[in-house]
Amino acid sequence: MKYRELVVLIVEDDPDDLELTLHTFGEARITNPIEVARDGQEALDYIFCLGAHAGREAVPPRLILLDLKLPKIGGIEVLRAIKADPRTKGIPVVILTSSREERDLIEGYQLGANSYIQKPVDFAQFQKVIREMGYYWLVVNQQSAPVPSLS
Amino acid sequence: MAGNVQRILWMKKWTAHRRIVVGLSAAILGIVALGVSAIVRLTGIEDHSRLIATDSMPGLSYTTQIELLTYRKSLLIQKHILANDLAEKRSIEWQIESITAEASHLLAGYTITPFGDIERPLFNKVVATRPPYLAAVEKVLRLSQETTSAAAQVELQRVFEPESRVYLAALHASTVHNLNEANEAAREIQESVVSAKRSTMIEALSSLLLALISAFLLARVVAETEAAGRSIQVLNRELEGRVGELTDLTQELEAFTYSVSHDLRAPLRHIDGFSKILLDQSAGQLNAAAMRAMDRIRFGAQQMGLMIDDLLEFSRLGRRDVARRPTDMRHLVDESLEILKPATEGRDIDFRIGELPTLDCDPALIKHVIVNLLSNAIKFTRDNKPAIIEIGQIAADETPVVYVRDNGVGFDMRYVDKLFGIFQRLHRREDFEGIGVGLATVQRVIHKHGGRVWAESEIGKGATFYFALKRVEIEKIAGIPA
Repeated sequence: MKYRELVVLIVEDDPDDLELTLHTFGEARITNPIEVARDGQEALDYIFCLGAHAGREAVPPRLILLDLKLPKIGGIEVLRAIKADPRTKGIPVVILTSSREERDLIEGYQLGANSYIQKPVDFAQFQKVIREMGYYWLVVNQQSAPVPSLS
Repeated sequence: MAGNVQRILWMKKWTAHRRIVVGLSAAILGIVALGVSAIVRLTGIEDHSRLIATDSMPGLSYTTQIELLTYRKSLLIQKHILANDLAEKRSIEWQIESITAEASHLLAGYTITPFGDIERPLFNKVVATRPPYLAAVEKVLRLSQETTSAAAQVELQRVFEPESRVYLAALHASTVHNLNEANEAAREIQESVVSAKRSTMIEALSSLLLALISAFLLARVVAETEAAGRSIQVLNRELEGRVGELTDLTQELEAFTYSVSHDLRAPLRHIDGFSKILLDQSAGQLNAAAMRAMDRIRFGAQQMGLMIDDLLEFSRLGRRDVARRPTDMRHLVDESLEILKPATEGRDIDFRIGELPTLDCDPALIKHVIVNLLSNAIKFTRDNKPAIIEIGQIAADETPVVYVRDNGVGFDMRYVDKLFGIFQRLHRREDFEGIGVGLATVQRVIHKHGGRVWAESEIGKGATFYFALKRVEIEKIAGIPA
């Protein structure tokens, strides 16, 4: 089995939020290749190799950062699809959102989200959270058994 | 079983109005029927009494017949006396014998005729005067047979007359008496029947009138009750409509709060984020004034973030259901002081905790109230050395009132109305931090419990906040310690 740098998928519709997140990833020296999906549909297409991603090499992402408030298909629906499919339910999903609504939190965890992070207004805190999150999920945490191929 | 149920359902389908109308109609029909049957029976009695008066008086009939016979006999005897030849006398004698036989036959039957106590003596008198009469008849007839001379005939008539007159008078008296008696009895019966008829009519009519009045009054009561019922239904429907509108409004407002607080946080994050990136990357190139401006931009953004977070918290508390259970206030106060420990560090505060009640409330929500009130007291006694913060209770007619008092800066009672409003502040931000959600949250939680919160203060002399979990009347609360 060949080791490879695994992709981090960022699902985010707001370009400013995306820029700040990418900036923070850079500062935190997270070197994994990053894929961006700008709405729920794009995210599902990427994850399940559909539509524009039909031809890509069927390797699941190492980590998914998922916003909840997305155009077309909402984050909760994306999460439900990921966790309902045995081929993808092992992928860690971190919800990264503005919402601190209890119902979003509860629903997110019930559907099998691995973390729930509310984006703080204070950017210094945001940098800290992203650093810690990346360190934990990409370095410390042991991935489960090799992820089955999507093909 | 099923039939029973059906009958009850059938009855229930009738309105109260209809039931009353049917019941009263039955009563009125009953009264009319009873009255009519009574009058018919009385009329029967009346007719019967008339029959008694005319035909059924045996005594009357009896004496009248004898009287007539006797009268005819007396006429025949006179005719016999005045007859001029013997052949004519014989013919008259034959008629007299026939009448005598008829009268004797009638008299023989008198013992079985129903004479009353009054009629009997009279009749006995009749019977007593009969023998002299009969003797006179015998004698006159005998003498009359022997003579035909005019002088003798006048003499005979003179002898016969007194006897016949006495007997006829007795008979006549008895007849008249019986007739009067019978008429009197019949009249009495008729009179009582007429009066019975009249009273029956009056009774029936007054019952009818009473029934009609009751029906009228009942119909009015029912109409009023039904009208009241209808207006209650109308009011209920209106109220339901309003509640529905309110629920819709509340849901709309919640959705609004939710999306606003989300959408507002994003640009704040961007302001703060890009400001920090700018600061980090151009630290060396910016002068002190520019650095300060960047700091203020970031402070403003973060402050607004906190406001939105508080607003969200406020809205979340408002949406929460109140889960009541008996809760020891002393326990909540201890927990709240633990939470507020960082705020009291380095401060000289004298907490005076008095007797506290056990309240039926949602402990998580009421803890918010206590934390907010204590946090305010700690904040506004910042310059007091020592700060005195007192927590206790007043019993107001069995509804305990909890109070938190401090010796801090206090506030102007002129602005007490603004105290519990959201984002309302009675102090300048430079003097005391905070965004004005704390007391609004307190009021919201207390109102959700159906209670009341109020405050008293004087500038420079501290403030006292009171709350009760029922609608107490503030004016009636006696013994508020000064």
